[in-house]
Amino acid sequence: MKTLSDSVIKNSYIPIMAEIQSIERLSKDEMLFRVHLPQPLNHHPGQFVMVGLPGIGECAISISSSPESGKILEMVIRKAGNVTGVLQQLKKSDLISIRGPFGSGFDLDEFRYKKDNGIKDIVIIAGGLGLVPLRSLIIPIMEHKSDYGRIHLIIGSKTPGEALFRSQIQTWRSQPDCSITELVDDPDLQEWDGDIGLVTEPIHKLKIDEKNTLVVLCGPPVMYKFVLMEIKMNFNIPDEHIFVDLERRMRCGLGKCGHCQINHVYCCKEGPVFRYSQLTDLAEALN
Amino acid sequence: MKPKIAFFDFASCEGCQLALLNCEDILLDLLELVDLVEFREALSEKSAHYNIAFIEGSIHREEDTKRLLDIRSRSQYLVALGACACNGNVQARSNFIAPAENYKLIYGEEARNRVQVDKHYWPLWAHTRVRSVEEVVKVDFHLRGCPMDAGEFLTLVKALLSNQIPHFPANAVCVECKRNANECVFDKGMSCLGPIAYGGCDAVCINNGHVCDACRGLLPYANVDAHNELMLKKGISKEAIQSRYRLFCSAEKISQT
Amino acid sequence: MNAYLSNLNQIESWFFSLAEKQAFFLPRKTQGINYRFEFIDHQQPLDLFSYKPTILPPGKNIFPDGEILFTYNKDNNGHYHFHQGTAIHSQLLAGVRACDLKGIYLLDKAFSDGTKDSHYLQRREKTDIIAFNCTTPCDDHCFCEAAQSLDFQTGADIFITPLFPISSNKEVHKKQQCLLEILTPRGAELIKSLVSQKCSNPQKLIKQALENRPKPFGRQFLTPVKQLSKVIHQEDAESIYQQYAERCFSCGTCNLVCPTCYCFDTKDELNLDGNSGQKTRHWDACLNPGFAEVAGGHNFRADPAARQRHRVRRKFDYLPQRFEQTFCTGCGRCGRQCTTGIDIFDIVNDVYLSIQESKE
Repeated sequence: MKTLSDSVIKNSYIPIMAEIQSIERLSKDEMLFRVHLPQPLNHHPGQFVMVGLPGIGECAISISSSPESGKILEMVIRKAGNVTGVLQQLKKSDLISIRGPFGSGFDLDEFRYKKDNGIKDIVIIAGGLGLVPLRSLIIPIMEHKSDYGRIHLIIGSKTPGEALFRSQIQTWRSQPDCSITELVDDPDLQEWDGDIGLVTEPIHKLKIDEKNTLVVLCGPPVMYKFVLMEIKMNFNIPDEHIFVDLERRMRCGLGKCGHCQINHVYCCKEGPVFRYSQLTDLAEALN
Repeated sequence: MKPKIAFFDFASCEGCQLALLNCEDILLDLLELVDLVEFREALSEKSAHYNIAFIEGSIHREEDTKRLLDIRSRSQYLVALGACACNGNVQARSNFIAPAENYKLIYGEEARNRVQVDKHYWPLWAHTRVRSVEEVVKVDFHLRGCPMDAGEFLTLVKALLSNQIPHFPANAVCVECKRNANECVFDKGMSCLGPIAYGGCDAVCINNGHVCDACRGLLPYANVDAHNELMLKKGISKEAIQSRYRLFCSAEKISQT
Repeated sequence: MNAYLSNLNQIESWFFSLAEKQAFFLPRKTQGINYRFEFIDHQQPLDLFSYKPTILPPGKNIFPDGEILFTYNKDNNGHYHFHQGTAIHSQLLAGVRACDLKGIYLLDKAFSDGTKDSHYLQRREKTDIIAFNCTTPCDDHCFCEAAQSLDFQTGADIFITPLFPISSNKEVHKKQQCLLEILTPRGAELIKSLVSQKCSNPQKLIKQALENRPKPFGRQFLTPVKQLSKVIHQEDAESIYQQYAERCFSCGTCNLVCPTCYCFDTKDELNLDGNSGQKTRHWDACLNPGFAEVAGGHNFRADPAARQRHRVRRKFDYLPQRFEQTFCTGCGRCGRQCTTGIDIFDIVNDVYLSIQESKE
């Protein structure tokens, strides 16, 4: 085993510390954290970081800011367990720990519209907190809109109170060739100017060039099965052109600890973004 | 203001509080961080509100129920401390026997007959089923074991003091036995409740050459049927198995018994 | 490759002399019926060849439970300072059998795949291994030949083959000859302190010694392991996993004693001062019900049959897809130590049988 001794291997468990610039409450359980990093992470859209506090713990959080955001990193933290509960009690200028970025993410190059056989339509379907990681993909597309084809966004939430990033979504509406449908399952007696229903409902109305379309899905586990069924029933889109962003419990982020393993793949390494063609073989992926 | 913590006794030997007092090394540091308002073994004070209320002991009488409900209403977090509070402990064996019969077994027939007619003893016969704390009020955390584990106690207090919600994994004792490279009790020709019992104790009994009697209670997913079969296969009688299950866990539901 | 001859008496005193210089582990009998890797000392006679696989495989000495990944402290200005975890000392593992050697080899693969695991790999670098060849199956749980780990040598510094039949009378062994193959420069360094003579015809001697091995060696699968992996990958076999899950305690013993299980959980600890603490890692088990639970409570493998299938497929399907090797070494530990008698050997054979039956 002497071959391994060539260089000192980096301790990948030691995080960097980042300063909180602002915390904005988005809904009852969700807060948008904007932090300042000592150096840019250079992430891809759809990647995640391990966020936490030394002595308390870490959890996997999707990066929500654009890859072009430099030393600024945005993420939405939902109160789900111990660590997220503690993070939500932090204030401006407090430090938090960051490791990463981890995971596969999206390759923006594949989404760009190029002449001849380029991608003409991009369909992005987000349910609930699913919008958070997809925002890191939508922002660079919107900012360089002329490089991309038609964009179709379907964004669903349970109630108006849980709908995220509404004012930012409003700014996206002014982009050319961009259709946005916002829905809630239940208006819950609150003011709501969008549609009412499930994210599956507008799918059949999409006007797309099936052969040259990319579909991206992210949402709660129960959403995938029904959305995929609806897509398959109405369109003939190859499985390689459908991307699914999955959630698992992650401990190490390095493809070792086994907690995020779905059949033979590690969600933290090969995922969390998968092509549907990769998942058809993985029995546990969409359950 | 420092968080207020309090200890309350119900039916128990108060051994868990003693186990805590035995950790002098951490106790003084801890007392710097909290305000100890009720602690029968150490001092006596009263408070209207508790941040953490530790309940020691099982619940027997109507008046215990009332007192427990009152403590719950005044507590932010309520912790069941030790086997009596978590799963009834040995006193819950009396759930399977009439009180008068029980009295006879312990003190003899003559004593039983004497107290039967003495009205000062009548409250003895009035006790209801021995219950765990959770059967009466909502429990936020369980610190299991007979006695409770001081390390777990510290983990819990540190977590609550730093605004965390502590989590104790519900794994079998076997996990810790393997971590300690213990030889399986069954391989030593003895029998063990470890496969169906809550761990978290670092398998302390097995580390020291004993067996596990499930003082921390049975796991919510305990495969009692398979365990029963295993014990029968090792030549242990049905009665002996039943008695073993009832040693610490009589306040719980146990199938096959 | 150099080879030497020496007898057990000399090897024993060689071991004692090595043990004076560094942490030296060798299997030793427990009070019951098992063996465990322990430090050796002069007080105890050594049991060099007749032991069966230890309670925990020797690979766990390279991947210890509770290892400190880092410690930290916060200074008066609120800045965090991180420090490397537990200091890593050299160690020597002797009496490692071929199945466990393969287990360590597979851990090496897993921990150097992608982002390298500094803690494991640095400890591995500082670990020397003296392996022992097997001339007879350890007991009726072992199936190393079927799992393709019999005669596995990679990763050992020295590989010892006894040139005599193993008997229960240990005294007769003392003057018997062993062949020591030197596989690495570190092995050549270690052997210097052994009284031995150079051997010119090692291959011939090994061949003779192994000629009398029982054939087949230990239990055999119903079909070669490659084929078995294919079947386990393809077949749902729900009812088979269900059948085994019915008597499973979900206690995780099978995972924790496995030489190729390396899943772990991490724990963050805060000291009472509130300004310092550490992160540690602990062996975890995918058979424990909470293993695949995510924040919010959803459990991706809540059903015990799904967990059982995950374990079997990890050994025979998932990890082999990644590393092109079966991740079961045939050491037999999981079956030997399962209190309820679930044996991975039986499960995989049953999965294979179930499709044979459905074909008929």
